[in-house]
Amino acid sequence: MVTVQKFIYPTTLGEALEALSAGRGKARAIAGGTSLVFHRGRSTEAYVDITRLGIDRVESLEGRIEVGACARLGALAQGHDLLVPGLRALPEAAACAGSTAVRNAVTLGGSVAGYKRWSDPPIALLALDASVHLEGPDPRDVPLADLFSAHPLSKLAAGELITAVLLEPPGPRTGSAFVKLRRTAVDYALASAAAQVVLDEQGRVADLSLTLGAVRPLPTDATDLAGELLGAEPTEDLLAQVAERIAQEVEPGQDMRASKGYLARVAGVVAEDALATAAARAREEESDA
Amino acid sequence: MPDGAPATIEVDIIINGKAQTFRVDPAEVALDTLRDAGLASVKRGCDEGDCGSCSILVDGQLMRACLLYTGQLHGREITTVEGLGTARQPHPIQRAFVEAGAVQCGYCTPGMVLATSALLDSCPSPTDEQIRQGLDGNLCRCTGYVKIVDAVRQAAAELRSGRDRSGGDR
Repeated sequence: MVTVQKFIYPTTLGEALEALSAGRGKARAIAGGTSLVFHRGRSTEAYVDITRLGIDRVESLEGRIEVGACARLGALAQGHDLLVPGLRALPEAAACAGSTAVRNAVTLGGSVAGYKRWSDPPIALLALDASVHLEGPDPRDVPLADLFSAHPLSKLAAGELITAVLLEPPGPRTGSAFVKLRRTAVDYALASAAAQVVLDEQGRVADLSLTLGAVRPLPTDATDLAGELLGAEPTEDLLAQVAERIAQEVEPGQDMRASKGYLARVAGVVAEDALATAAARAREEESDA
Repeated sequence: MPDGAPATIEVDIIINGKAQTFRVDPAEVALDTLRDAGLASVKRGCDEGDCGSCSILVDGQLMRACLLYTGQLHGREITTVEGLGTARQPHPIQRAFVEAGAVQCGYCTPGMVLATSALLDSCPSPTDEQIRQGLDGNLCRCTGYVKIVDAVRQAAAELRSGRDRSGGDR
């Protein structure tokens, strides 16, 4: 049964929060709407359109990079001066989420709040150790990893809104990459991986993070599985060993499109590619400096 | 309002340059509203965002009418192929599709034409790779993609030369 009664079009954040709070759990924020249009019949009475609040920019604020929650994936896919190679995983993930028309609608905040197993941008954001800013009764920054210990939406209280994604500007010799395996140009991921790699002055891995997407219901932090790279040069042999270890140790969930054995194998492959590309970008950063 | 009572909302949309007001069920999607308004070029294909037949331009951006509530379009400007050209005076993109033989059954054509319009707006001289990316969400089930890419290339050349003639203005 259809229960939606109205749309509300706030033009300031304050108005939006007021409308969400007045809805007492039955008012829901809508941005791109590409998931919510399939929710007809759920217990939403009002949609609060949050695309007119001016929260769609990429900016440098107080030493951090702030990406407005309503930035469309299509815009992020074009890249941005602030999204340097150490953060390249984000525009890369944005560029391969769905088709052009879908990216023009989907917002970065929506891809977090409306997370599905196959979502691409959250995987990149987790590897980049991003936080989100929540507005509402108790405004605060929350590490994305905390938000993803269950479905992010279950972590948001009624009346709470993600208004921005916060990224730390990467230090020197830092590279990142997002890699996705899919059956067609616009398909959901079978497996995806995002990596950030920091090299020391000798070209050895000083720090890294690795997140796997799509293989399990929630994103998988695989940083420890790549631990043998720390302190070593990321050679092809070593990267192949990491891929092998991931294939052995990741435990894929059920997926009607592929067997668990296949998913484990390709998770290793996309992880290897993401780490290799991130390391190559970290080396380029050095030669630029 | 009592449970289950049918609600309607008023939505103001500028469609192909003309301001219109719709009274619709808040759960209605743009595809239904636009087709009911007589815009037959907005085709119902998959109804779930995969095929591109219902493509429209929202404030110049290519989007899917089946993935948008009508309410989301309040205050926005929409373009459909009805707003590009007519049979007597086709838009250069439409003419290029006809001349290149890119129209087979024709069902995907409006979406392809709008995707082309959005692409050439931001990228007047696309490579073949960029053309394929610009049309990545538009499926042709006659599978005549070669002619479609030819048409986009031809339209791009024509629009560029048109711009040259008019001194850089579109």
